[in-house]
Amino acid sequence: MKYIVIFLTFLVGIVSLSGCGTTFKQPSVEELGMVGVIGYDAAKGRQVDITTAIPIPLPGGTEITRVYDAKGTVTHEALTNISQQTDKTINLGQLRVVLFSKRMAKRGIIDYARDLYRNPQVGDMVLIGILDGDVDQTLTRHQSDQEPIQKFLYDFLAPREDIAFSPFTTMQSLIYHDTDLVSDPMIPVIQTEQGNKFIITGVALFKNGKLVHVIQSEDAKLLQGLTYRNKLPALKLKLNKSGTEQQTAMLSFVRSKISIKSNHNLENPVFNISFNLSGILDDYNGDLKLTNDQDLSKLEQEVNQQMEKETYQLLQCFKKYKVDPIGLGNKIRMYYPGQWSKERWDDSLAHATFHVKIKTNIISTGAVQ
Amino acid sequence: MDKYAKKKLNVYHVVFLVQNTMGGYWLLSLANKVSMAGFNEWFIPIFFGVMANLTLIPMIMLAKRYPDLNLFEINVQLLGKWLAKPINIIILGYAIIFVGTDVDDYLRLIQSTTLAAKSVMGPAIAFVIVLIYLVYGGIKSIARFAILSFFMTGWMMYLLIWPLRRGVYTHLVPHLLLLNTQTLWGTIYNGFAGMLGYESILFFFPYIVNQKKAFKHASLGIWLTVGIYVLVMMTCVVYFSEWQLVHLPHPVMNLFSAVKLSYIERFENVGVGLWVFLILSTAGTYLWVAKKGMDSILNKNKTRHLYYCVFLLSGFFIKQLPLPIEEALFNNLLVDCGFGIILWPIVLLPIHKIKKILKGDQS
Repeated sequence: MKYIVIFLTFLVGIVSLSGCGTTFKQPSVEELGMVGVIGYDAAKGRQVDITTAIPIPLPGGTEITRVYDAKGTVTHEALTNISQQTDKTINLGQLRVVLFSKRMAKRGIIDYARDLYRNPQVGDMVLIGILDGDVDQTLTRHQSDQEPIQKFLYDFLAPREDIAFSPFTTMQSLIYHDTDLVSDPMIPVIQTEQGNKFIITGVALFKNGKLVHVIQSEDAKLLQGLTYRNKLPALKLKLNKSGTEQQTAMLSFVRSKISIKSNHNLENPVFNISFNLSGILDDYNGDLKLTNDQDLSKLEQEVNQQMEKETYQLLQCFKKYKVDPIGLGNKIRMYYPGQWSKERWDDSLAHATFHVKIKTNIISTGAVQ
Repeated sequence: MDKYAKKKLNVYHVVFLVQNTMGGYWLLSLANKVSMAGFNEWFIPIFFGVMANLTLIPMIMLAKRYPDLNLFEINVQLLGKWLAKPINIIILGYAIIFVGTDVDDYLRLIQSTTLAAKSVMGPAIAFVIVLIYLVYGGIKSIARFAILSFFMTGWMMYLLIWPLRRGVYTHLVPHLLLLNTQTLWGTIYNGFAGMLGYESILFFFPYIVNQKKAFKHASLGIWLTVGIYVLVMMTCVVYFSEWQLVHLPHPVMNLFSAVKLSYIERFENVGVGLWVFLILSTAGTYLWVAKKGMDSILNKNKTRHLYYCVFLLSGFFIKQLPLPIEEALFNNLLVDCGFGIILWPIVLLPIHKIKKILKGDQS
C-alpha cells in the first residue's frame, strides 16, 4: 500500500510539475490541410512564390483540390502566409511532389530543397520535377480536374519503364548528389503542352544547386544507361542517309551491361566505357534486308557507330559544363589516396578523355520474315 | 518460478542481455557520431569490438574471483566501506544517467518525428511504468525481454535491402591513409559509447548459471552487436554522402524512409515505434544495475529502492536542463564514467592480489 501511495505521488508530481499554460486544441484529420504538391516560382528579389495543392474532402466521399500561393523568402514563411488564407492547419506529412519552375532552377533550388529535407514531416522519397513554365498557373489550371493533380503528378513522375530516361529524382537523391563530393544532381523536366497536357521532355543537369543544361529525352536514355540501370529504355537511332531519306531504327533492349574503367589518375583521367547490349529491332525503315545475316551485322555496325557517337557527344557535354551526373569520379576516388575535393574533380573532368565502345547484338527482328 | 534461486541466467540470457544492453539508442545515431572517419566509418565498429573484447577479459577475471558478488559488493569487499561508497555512488549515478540519456534521447526523437507539436509527457509516463514493471521482475525478466526485443526488431535488418539497392558501392573501399590517430581517437571518444553495455556483466555475473563459459557467451553478444553495427553502417556509407552522415542525427531513420511498400508509407514511423523494445531492454538493465547500487549503498535489499531510482530518473523529464550542462552531463561525463567502469577491474585486480598476499602472510 505504502509503495502505491509513493508511486501515485510521483505520478501526480510528474504531471503537475510539467507546467500550465494556454493549450491549443490538436487539429483532427479533417482540419488538416495535407499539402500534396508544393511548387516554387522565382519572384522579385530574393523572394519565392510558393504554390501548394491541398486536397479538400467533401461530404459524400468526393474530394476537390484547392491551390493556394504566397510569397516569402524561406519555405516556412510562405507556408505560414498560406495557412492564413485557409481554414485548415497546413501539414506537409502527405507531401508527394515538389516542383520547381525552370526560372527558379536557374536561380538555385538547393536552399529550398534543404528547407524541406530538414522538416521531419517531409519524407525522403518525395519526387522532384522541374516545370518548364509557371508552377502557380499550371496548378491553378488543373485544380478542377477530375483526377486530383497531386495524385496525377505523383504517378506521372514515379518510376515506369516507358519513361526510363527520367532519373526519378527523390529528395534523398537530390540532397545526396548535391552534397556528394563526386556527382551532381539531375532532375526530370516537365512541359505542359497546349495548356493541359504534361510531358516529360528531358533531364536537367545541376551544378552547385543551379540548372546548367537540359538534355533532351533521347540523349537522356543513354545517360540513364550510363548509370548502371540493367535495362536501357527503347532507343530511336538516326542511321546513315540513303539518298535523301533519313534511315531510322527503333531498338528495345532486353539486356544492357555497362562497364566503366578508369586509369586511376586524377590529373589526367581516362575512361574506357563499354556497353554490351542485346536488343530487339522494333522498327526499321532502311534498305537492308534483315533476314540476311550479313545485312543484319551491317546494321549492328551502324547502330554501334551511331550510339558511340551519341554517347561521346553526351560525355563531351558533361565536360563542357563540368557536371558528373553519373558519378564517374567514384571510379577514380576509390583509388585516390589523399583528401578528395570536389573542385579538383571538376577541374579534372573538364579535360578528361573518354573511349566509348559499344557492342550491339540484335537477337530478334520480330515475328514476320 | 525461480525468483529466489540465485543462479538463473542461461546461455541465451547472457548473450542477448549483453547484446541488447549495448544496442539501444546508439544504433540509431552511431553512423553520425563516428562520421569524422568519413566513408571509412563502416569498419570502425570492428575496432570497437576488439577493444570491448579485450576489456572484457579483466572484467571476467575479477568476476570469477568473486562468483557470488556484483561490482558494488566487490568494491566494498576490496576497498572497505568508506572508500567503496563514493565509488558506488558514482556508478549508481552513471547507471541513472545512462537510463536517463537513453530514454530522453528516444523521447526527443519521437517528439521530432512521430508526435511533432505534441507533448511527450504521456508516452514518457507510460514508458517509465513499463520500465518499472520490467525491472521489478528481476534480471531474468530483463534478459527474457532482451531476447524478445531482439526478435521483434531484428527482422528490420531486412529493410536495409531498399537503401542497399540505391547505394554507391565504391564508397566501401577503405582509405586507411585518411585515418590518422587524431580521427581514430575522436571516433573512439564519440562512438565507443555505442559499445557501452557489456560492462553490465560485472553486475549480473553472480546470476549466471554457467559462469565458466561466461566470457565466451558475453563475447558472442559483443560480436553480434558489432555485426549489426557494421551492416547498418555499411548501408549508411553506400547510401549517404559524407555531408549527410555528418548532418543527419539519426541516419537509420532515413534508411527506413527509403523503404517502399505498396501497403505502407513512411516506414520510419513504424521503425521509431518498434525501437522502444531496444530502448526498454537497454534502460531496463541499467535501471536494474542502479537498483542494485541503491541496495548496496543503503545496505539493504528492498524493492522500494527501485522507486528511489525512478524518482532520481524522473528529474530528467520534469525539468529540461540548459543545453551546455546537458551536453556535459549526458555525453562527456557519461562516456568518461563508462570508460572508467570498463577499466575499473584493471585497478581492482592488483588490489585483490595484494590483499591475497597480505592475508597469506598473516596466516
